[in-house]
Amino acid sequence: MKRLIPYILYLYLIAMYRILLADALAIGPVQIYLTPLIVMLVALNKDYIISLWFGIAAGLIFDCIDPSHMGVQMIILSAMGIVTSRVKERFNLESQKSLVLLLATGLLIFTIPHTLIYTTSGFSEFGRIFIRVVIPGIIYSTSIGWLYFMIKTSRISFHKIKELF
Amino acid sequence: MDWQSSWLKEKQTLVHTIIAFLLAFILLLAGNNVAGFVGNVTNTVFYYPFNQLKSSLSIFSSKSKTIDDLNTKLAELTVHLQLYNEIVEENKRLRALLGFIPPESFRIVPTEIIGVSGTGIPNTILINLGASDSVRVNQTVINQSGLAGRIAQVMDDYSVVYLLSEPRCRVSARVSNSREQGIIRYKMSRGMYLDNCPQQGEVTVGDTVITSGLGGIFPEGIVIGTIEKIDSPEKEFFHDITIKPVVNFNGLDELYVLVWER
Repeated sequence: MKRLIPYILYLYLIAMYRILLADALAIGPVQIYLTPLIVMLVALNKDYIISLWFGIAAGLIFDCIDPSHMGVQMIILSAMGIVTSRVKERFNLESQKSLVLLLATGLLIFTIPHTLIYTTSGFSEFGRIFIRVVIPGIIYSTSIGWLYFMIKTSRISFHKIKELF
Repeated sequence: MDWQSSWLKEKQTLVHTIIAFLLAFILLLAGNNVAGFVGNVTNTVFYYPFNQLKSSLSIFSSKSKTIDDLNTKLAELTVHLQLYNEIVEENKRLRALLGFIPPESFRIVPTEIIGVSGTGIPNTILINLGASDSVRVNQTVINQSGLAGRIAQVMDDYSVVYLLSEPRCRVSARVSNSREQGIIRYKMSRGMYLDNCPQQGEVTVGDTVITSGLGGIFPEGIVIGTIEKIDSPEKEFFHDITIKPVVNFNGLDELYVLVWER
């Protein structure tokens, strides 16, 4: 049970982001894709089974606001989790560039079905939304992921920032 | 059993994947009832605290804005009150200088209308203040525009008000500019008019008519209306002046009783 606490906190972070922070952190219509980002970051740090179940749980959190699509995000996010986990096992992802590229690719794959499912204005609007909202959103989210890797590898730290001033 | 558990251990990843996707597919294909129930439970566990926090923050933010607005209004009204107090003091000094007896002071008590009667236009209303609220017969009733009427009958908790549209309610009035005096009356057939105003007096259309304070019922200076039409028939001593009241008797909402503090 104790092992589950960090994952439950991640799930609460997703819920908190969606309710309280999404609009505050948005740049115009561009939002951070925090849920897939967290799923991928968990998959990069944990094993296959944890990635799978965390994807399912995150999908449940994502879907429950709109129960008419219940299950869709569970499938998409758990698939993202296990694919990321497999890619991590098969490829050498030591460099930050490769990790950032993996995040960007994962987010791109996530956003295509997500945008198609949740865009109510139809397929004709897809291209416009994809260029104006989704691509900037992927860049924004990947930047957050990159920041996370920088902090994790201590390339950015409180002391270094303090020294700057 | 051993071979089964060892097989499960070997194929653990596969088993987990199958169970997880099966669960997702069940939820995807299940009806709205199941999806709704699962969604509700998840919402309650994960989103409810943040939703509550968000609504509290939103209420706090709107209240904070209201407080800011009220503070601004308070500052504005404080300045107005100071100016008003200065005017009152100046008025007292001038009255003392002229040898006038200062009028009795009164307080304004807000009241609610609980009943209206009248044909065509309301002329009598019932308000929720009575003798227990220090309301007495003949006290003045106003609204934000001007004079509305007077208290005609008082019960413990209710009072009957004769509006100016009630023929029995007459007011001693004067024209604000020329100080010409007369009596405000109301007739169903011709509306409100200023009676007993001699033709020698200078009155013009658009002049404001106020209470003169001479009748001993209404305090001086309360706006009644404006002169709408003046007829000066030959062989008549008085003008025939039609008054347009400032108070809309059909749209009365907030009323105040001037309760005299004796």
